[in-house]
Amino acid sequence: MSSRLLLGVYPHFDEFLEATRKLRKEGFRDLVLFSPTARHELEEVLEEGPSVVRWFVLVGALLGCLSGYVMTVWMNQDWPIIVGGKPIGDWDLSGTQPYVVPMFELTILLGSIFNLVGLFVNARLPRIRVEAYDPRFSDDHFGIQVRTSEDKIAAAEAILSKNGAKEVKRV
Amino acid sequence: MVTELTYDQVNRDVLRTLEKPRPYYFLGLAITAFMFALGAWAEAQNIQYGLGMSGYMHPVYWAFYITDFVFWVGIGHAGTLISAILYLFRARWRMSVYRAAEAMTVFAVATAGLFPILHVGRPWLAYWLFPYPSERQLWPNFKSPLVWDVFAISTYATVSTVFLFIGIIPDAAAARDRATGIRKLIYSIFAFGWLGSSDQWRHYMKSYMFFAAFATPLVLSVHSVVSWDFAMSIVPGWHSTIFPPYFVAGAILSGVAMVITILIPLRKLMGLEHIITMWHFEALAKLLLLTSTIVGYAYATEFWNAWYSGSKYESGHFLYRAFGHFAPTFWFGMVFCNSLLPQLFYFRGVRTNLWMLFIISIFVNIGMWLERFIIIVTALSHEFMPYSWSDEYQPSHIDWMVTIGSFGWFFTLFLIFAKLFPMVSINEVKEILRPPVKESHK
Repeated sequence: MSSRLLLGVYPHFDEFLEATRKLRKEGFRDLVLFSPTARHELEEVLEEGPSVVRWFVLVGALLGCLSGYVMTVWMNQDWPIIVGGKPIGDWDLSGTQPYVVPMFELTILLGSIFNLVGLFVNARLPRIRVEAYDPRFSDDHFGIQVRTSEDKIAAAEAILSKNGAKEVKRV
Repeated sequence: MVTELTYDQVNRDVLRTLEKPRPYYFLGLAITAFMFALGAWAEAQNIQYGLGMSGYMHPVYWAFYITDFVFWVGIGHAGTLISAILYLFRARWRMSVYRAAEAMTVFAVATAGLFPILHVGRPWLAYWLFPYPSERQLWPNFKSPLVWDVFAISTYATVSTVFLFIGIIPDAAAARDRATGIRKLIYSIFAFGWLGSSDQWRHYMKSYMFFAAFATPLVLSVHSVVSWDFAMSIVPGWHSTIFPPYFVAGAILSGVAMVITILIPLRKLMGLEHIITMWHFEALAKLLLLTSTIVGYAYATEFWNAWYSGSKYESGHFLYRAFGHFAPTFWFGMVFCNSLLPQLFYFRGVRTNLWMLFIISIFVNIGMWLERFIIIVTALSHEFMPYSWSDEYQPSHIDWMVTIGSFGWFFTLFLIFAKLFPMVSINEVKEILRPPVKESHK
């Protein structure tokens, strides 16, 4: 059965949250909320868990630290030149104290790059095709997108408009 | 506070600043571009005739360019402090000012990054600093703080640029939704198709938090590494364990001063007085007062350390700093501008007077530039060997022009950015406002 999309536009934040709660109570689970700014109420009302971006960051940071270690030790082993009587860093970490700085910087660099990748992958950016959107969502309006089956669409529409929607569109 | 604004007002007032610029904007741009052209001409002289054009003479082979380098890196640090560290501390006042501060960071680092390249004398070979597989099969010496600098500065430039443009994504979306024609296309590109949907915000906020969490230790490490360029050597006046915290505090002092210097005219010209308010300036002034006090304490500690160390070279250097050839720059820059003048911010009347804030911030900028000059040039002028002591160092006109050129480069980039992107974060200012609710629910 083909699914249908509904988009409700809300001028008021409290009514928008109330409508979302009611929709969820009535069994409409496939909801996307739109907001001009980040608000924790969105996560609370949708009961979402923490973002997986954090795992990207962890992997990137560990990889950065490791690559810093491998790079500095390997390169200085490959071309061992003694400067100031200091030892050449070795794989058992002896003499690698000065290499902590490149390791530290690469931890941050790769952690940040993986963070960027994690954000773009999970937030589906860059996004070219847009299913439902209203330019007012970046100004001062809030929105609820409901995906539901043909037979339930009237019920969802009723909940949206009864709870303060300024406009309800079928997309 | 800015809490009496509405979402729509913020949207309109900030996006209005992106409209067609007025003539004085182009006048400003022409002045800064001319300054940059002067610097570029001077640098061409350096390339054509060699670094001798730059007033280097024995024993002072680090001078203006390294001073400029440390100065500009330092300017960048306040931007990261405001955008990342204060984000982690949930300081609400940062919302209105952080975008300008962060843009300042990116352009200050872009300026700073030029100087080591100019300073090596053969800028076209600067890539030798990076570890790349060459036919000579040589690798960099990772024990050198100069190589650490390559890693620290390039990481800092990358991370702060990404952080800035991540922050811009939702604002570019807001600009996109109001713009038409070619402007709509440009903002669409920078918005990456941002919708502001719940799943996007969820990932965005997590990601933003991690950027802030990375930028915080990064900013501390970058200026620590810069200070190690000096402290890892054995030159009296440089070889000191207090250098990293001392340099980080100095960096934040100079950067906060630059934020104030930039924000006062910016908010006036862009008509953002109701978004960047006196509350924000007072908070900045308090930050300036705190860092100035730390820096003043560090100056005193350096003298105390020199005396307590019992090293005659160390105390000889500090006597030279305070009473030798360069003493006037020490008393004016380090003592008056950086340590004493900001103490006026204990008085609320001074903190809330924009003229006083502006003037003192400019004095701190000058003082912090002089501080780096003193640390670098006096230390080299008065090392261990009496026969190489010298009061001879004189900057040449090329030094001055390259320095002026760096200000031109920085402000040209900043002015272009200020017209292209919102200088106040629309979505984060909205975050601390009361969302619009139904009249009967208020």
